[in-house]
Amino acid sequence: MSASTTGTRQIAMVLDLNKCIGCQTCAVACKSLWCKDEGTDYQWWCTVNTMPGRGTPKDYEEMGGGYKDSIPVRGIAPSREDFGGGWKFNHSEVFFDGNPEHKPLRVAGEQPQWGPNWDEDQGAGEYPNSYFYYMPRLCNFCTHAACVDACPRGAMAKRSSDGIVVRDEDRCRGYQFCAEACPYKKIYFNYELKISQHCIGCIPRLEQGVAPACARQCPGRLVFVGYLDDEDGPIHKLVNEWKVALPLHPEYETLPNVYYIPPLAPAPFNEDGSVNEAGSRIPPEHLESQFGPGVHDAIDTLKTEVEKARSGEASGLMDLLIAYNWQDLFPDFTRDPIDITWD
Amino acid sequence: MKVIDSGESSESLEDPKGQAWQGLSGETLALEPAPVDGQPSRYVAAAYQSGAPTGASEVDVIAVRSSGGDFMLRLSWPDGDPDIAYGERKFPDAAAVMFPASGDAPLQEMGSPDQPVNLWYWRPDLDGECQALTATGLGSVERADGGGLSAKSAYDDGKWMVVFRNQGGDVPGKAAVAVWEGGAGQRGGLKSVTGSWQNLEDAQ
Repeated sequence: MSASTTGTRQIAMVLDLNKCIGCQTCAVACKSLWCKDEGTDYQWWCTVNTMPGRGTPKDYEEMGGGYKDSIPVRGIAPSREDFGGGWKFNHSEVFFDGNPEHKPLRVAGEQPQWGPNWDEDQGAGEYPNSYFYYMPRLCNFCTHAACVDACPRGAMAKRSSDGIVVRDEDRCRGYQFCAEACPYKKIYFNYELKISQHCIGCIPRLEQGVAPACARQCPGRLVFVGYLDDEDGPIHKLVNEWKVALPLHPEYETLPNVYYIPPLAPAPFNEDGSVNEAGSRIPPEHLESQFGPGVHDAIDTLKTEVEKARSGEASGLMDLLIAYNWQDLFPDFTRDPIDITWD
Repeated sequence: MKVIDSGESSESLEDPKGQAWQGLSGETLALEPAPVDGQPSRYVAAAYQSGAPTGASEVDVIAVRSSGGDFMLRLSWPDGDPDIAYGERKFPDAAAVMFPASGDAPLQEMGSPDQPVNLWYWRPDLDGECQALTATGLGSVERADGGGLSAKSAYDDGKWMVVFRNQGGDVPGKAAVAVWEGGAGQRGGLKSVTGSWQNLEDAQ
């Protein structure tokens, strides 16, 4: 056990991918709250990507990091370009100069060749069995946080009160070992401040009983937030009781605390045009490559409960996932941020 | 290493390529990769065990006292491709000189809680600032009062040249040097270092 596993409580998230519509509201909510300052133009701490796809940053799954048999695996730090850079727009032309020619909003200057969710809605598979789903990603608040392990200066730590990974920006000297070691590539280098930065789980909001911006703003109500050990809360029920919420890439061995309800998919067509009711357009091997071998049982449980609900039977799991009342998504964090006087 | 009483002004010596340095001879010190085993990072120790980035293999050092009494050092080392800023998986080059704050501070460990070290740190993207640092062990570097410290650099003919100036500063008893080849990924504990302290003999 490393020094990074000393937290006494752990906040976790569950994201129901069956409800994600790829609207990017979470990404924009995070961006507008945290990434407006110098050097953060290209930083999107929460990103939503079409899957299967190359992800954000580009090909992040090929960049190494994490652990293999508990030994740190060498990785590479994603560059500004891997994330797509910070696009500049013609805001002045459109919004401030009268815009007599009614010019639309465009990327100004050199046209980008990559960006977050660049491969939007491409997905995979052949018509009529093509498929895709959306996957929001943010810091995973890993129990065995590779970034914390990697920092030679002790600038990073897991908070014992909630397990959020935090960084002392005054101690950070910009070595980027954290970014190399993070297998999810959710650490960004601020080229102006010459330090690394990452999602901090909206801790000022959490401390006030307010859900993180990505969760609270989600129109699809797909983000559950709570303490992993709260047996009455939705996280524990989905992760430990129903076992339908799974970590992304468990083989990285960091024990992430953002969990996903894997996506169900329509039945595929057979070559003769009939429907293969027993099949799924999303290949099981693809889901296993993302969520590990536990995904098959999770999918079976989800299908069983969906059928129960369809046939009129009660399904506690479906009731939980539907979240009739939004407060049920994060019962400990339902305060309205507008009611709080922020320092 | 002798500290030469140069008779030149500090201002003339601040130019790394200046005439004031012509004819002064120092020493060429061998540099070796700092060991990764003891790095205060499980990741660095494991991930770079079989291939830490390499950089300069030697550095020329001239130590002088200016006519104004300032202690000054000029480091120069070959670098065919200078890195002056952060880039795509690249870091700015850097150099540092380390002195024991007192006694026999351990070199490889960069001091200890009882025997701290002082460092002068230069990097081309710091706009001429020379960072004064102190450390009590690997990974413990902290900013310190820079007082009369400054650094000026030049890149010419395939070499970095950096002049450190400590206004009114005493000559420390010994020093060690580290150089980082940022383009190869050297930063932090991944660096090229002198393997032992170099005694400084003040001519005064």
